[in-house]
Amino acid sequence: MMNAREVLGLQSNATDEEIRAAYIQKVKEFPPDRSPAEFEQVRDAYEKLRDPRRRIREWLFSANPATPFATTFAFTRGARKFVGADLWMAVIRGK
Amino acid sequence: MSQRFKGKRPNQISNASPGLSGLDLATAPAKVREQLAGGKSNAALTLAKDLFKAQPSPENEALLIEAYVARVEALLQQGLVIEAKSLTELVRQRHPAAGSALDSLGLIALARGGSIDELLRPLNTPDISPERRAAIEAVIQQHIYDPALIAKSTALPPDHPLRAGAQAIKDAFGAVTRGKVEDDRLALSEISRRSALAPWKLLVRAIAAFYRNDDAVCRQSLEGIRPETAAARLVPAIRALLGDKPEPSLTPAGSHLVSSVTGQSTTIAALLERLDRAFAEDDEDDTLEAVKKAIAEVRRALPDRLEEFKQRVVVRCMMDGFEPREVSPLLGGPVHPGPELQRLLATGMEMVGHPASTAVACASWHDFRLSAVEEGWFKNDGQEVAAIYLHIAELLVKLEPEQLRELQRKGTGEEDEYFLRPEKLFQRACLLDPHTEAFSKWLNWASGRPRALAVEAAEAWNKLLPDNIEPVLFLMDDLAKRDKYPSALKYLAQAERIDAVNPRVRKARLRLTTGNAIRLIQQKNYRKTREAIDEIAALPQTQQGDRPIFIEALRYMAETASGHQEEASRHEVEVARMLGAGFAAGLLIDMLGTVCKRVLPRPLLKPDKIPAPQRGQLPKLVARVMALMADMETKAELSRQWVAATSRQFAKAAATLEIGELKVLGETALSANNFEFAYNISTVGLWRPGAEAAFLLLRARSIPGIQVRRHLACAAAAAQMARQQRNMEIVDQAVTMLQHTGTRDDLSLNSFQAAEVVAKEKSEKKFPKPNERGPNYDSLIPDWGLCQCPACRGARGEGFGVFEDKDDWDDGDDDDFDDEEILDEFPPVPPGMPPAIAKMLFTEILEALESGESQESFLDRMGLLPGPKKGKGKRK
Repeated sequence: MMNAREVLGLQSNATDEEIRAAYIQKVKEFPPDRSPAEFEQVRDAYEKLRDPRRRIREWLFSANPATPFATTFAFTRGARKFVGADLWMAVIRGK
Repeated sequence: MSQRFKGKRPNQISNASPGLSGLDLATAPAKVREQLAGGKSNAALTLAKDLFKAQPSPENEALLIEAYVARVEALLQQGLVIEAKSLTELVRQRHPAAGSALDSLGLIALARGGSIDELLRPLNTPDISPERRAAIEAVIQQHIYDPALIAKSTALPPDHPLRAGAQAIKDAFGAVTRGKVEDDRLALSEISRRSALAPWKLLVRAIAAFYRNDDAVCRQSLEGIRPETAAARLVPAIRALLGDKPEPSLTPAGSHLVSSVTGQSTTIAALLERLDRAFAEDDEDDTLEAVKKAIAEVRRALPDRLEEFKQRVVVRCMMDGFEPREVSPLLGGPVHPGPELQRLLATGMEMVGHPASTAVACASWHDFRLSAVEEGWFKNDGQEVAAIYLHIAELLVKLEPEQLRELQRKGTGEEDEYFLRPEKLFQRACLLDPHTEAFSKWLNWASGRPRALAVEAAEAWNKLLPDNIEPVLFLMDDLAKRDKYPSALKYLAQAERIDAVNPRVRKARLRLTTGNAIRLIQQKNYRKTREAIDEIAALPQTQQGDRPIFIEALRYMAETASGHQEEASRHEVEVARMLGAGFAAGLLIDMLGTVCKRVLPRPLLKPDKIPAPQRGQLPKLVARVMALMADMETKAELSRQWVAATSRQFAKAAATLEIGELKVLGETALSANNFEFAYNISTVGLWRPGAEAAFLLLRARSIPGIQVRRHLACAAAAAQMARQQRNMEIVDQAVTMLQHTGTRDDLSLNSFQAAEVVAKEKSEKKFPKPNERGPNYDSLIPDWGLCQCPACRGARGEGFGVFEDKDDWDDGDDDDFDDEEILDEFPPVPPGMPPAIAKMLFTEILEALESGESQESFLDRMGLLPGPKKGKGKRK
């Protein structure tokens, strides 16, 4: 499960303006009438981050030691290297 | 039909054709179909050829063509494009009827064989049929695995939408796989949703979103790619990159892509999944083995994340109750005890949820604070530390008081265990970061504790946030309860400066000034009393209703207290004039005298001294006086003598009484334990429209205890009717009443049932006789709502079963404990102990047994533990 920053696609040191801008961007991508579930997630994330005290609490207390290891240490955490088009196309061309 | 083998009789087998030996013409078609369904195109084709040779019918030719088509498809799937093309041509020559069936295969063969120009050329002809165009575009979408081939095809002009679109896709694909690209650069407006290249557009967007860490958008784009398209071949790999389990499994190229993008092998993913499974299945040996293997692989493949991984393993193992000595050898070295570990540990112990683990969590948050400050995460006097203190306090307040006391008693071995003391934590949090929410939590917790803790919280709140009204009102009320009115009035003044229109503040002015005046009368401070009463009289709200009468009565008390009897009499006369009856004035003054603790210069008025013509006014005037006392928030009880006298006059006066007056009389009757009077009042009140809920409640409170079902029915009906009328005050009272009788929370009636109760109760106009059962509510109040012990059932007149023995019923009484058991469980009372002390000790023993307290804990608590006190060790 993503934490609030991940939902809004923010770095840990995002400013108030960045948080607000990210929220607006996400609402445009997931409007409530077309993507109600995602919108709610985005809204909850913004509520957690817009208030400085809540933001601090979100940062301090959102670690979850019960998150599966495969999720925490698997593919998407950290590395998303650019490898050029050939490797990607090889998957389509290959069997 | 083609010209084939002629002259042979059907079903005859020709020895010249070895394939035909053993052929049964009747079952052969079914066998062909069976083989086709099984994917055995080669065998099906052979059999179909033999069949057609033996019996060249139109049906068999159609079956043969079907087999040919299947064979061509199989060759194409195997990449044998040339063979497929040759076979297609052969079939087309021999069996012209197969033309249309082979058309799409022919297109596929062109695409797979690289004859892109030949495939695309018809799209450039203006008279191409829509069906042909659709067939070609379907093949483009499903069988062309590289848009660049379309982009460079000279069969289409460069500005042809398909060629231009393919070029755009090629460029965009290259861009998104080389660097981050924002969405607005990927509009690809030249490619419509219906274009053959539409799946590629979604693919490009998915990849761009992936690299922007926008996983939600990435997934959304993948969802739009149809599975039969060429672009869909990348979907499993992208899902794997997103952390999903890929379906179907990855191809070798897919695995290579994933490991290249992530820098991580698929081996580690499998090991981590195994580790997760082991923890989930709670298999100790399996878990330790999985930990060992995973650590080795992480050390090799993800060395920069090894420390983080070890920390998480340590915490998970602790959460699952592993011994440190089992886990430590597997880690290959110590784990850095830094803030990351402490935070994980604290959160993990919270999740375990046991009081003992809560203590560890609290201590871990303390350690986290120290190490985070040391490592420069935040300052020790910042909002972060305040948030930590508040968080720990919130953990502790969730515990039962006894659990918290036990934790505090046991301790953790730390020198300063502030982190087990909510009062210290709240104080620290609020001092560091004073804000309303934190103070509110502190005061809320402290309000259920000894007064000093709550006052400390409120005073700190008021000092640091003087514009918050809550602590001011709390302190004001606290002082008023202790009759410290001058100080309470100072807080009231502060509250009025903050929010003069607050309803609580407006009510408080009258209450406090009245209370202050009464206190001054008690102190016989004549001068200040007159000033205080003048102050009350000057308040606008004192002019309302009967309040001026109260002021006059207060003046009487003040003058009497100071010995000015003539002046006092003048005020008494005024009170009598305003109430309309001398005896009412006397009653009011007598009650106020009791409140003011003054001995009046005349004996207390007795109801039998009321002149006979005035006795009929008793109910109305008593209601008026009691309502006035309540309105002025001056608590006083009417004596039983007066209540009885009022009760005797009630029947005649009932019709003239308002609903409010009936309610006041009802409360007065209950306070004097005159349940018959209260019942009679409810009888009258139930017939007043709109007031059924209030008088059902009064009925419930006035009926004898034996009529348990009736009591519950009335309370439940009152709750239901009050809900309908949105009278939450009565709802709360009724629900509280139901809870106090030990009924289940889900005991409730619907509106029809409530109306049934009202109808029944209206017909029960007389107070029940002793042991009378009352109306039957068995259908409304089921047995599970009532205690079923024989004593209660007997009290309800229900009796108990023939084979039941009252003495066998386990009612949880202390008498169930056997003295011998007690003496076995605990050491005997020391010789020479005084009987009274021994009895107290015995009571403590019984309570300890009931609560499940251990012997050691009990003896320690009693100070009876032998040997020296244990020293505090380090927390483990």
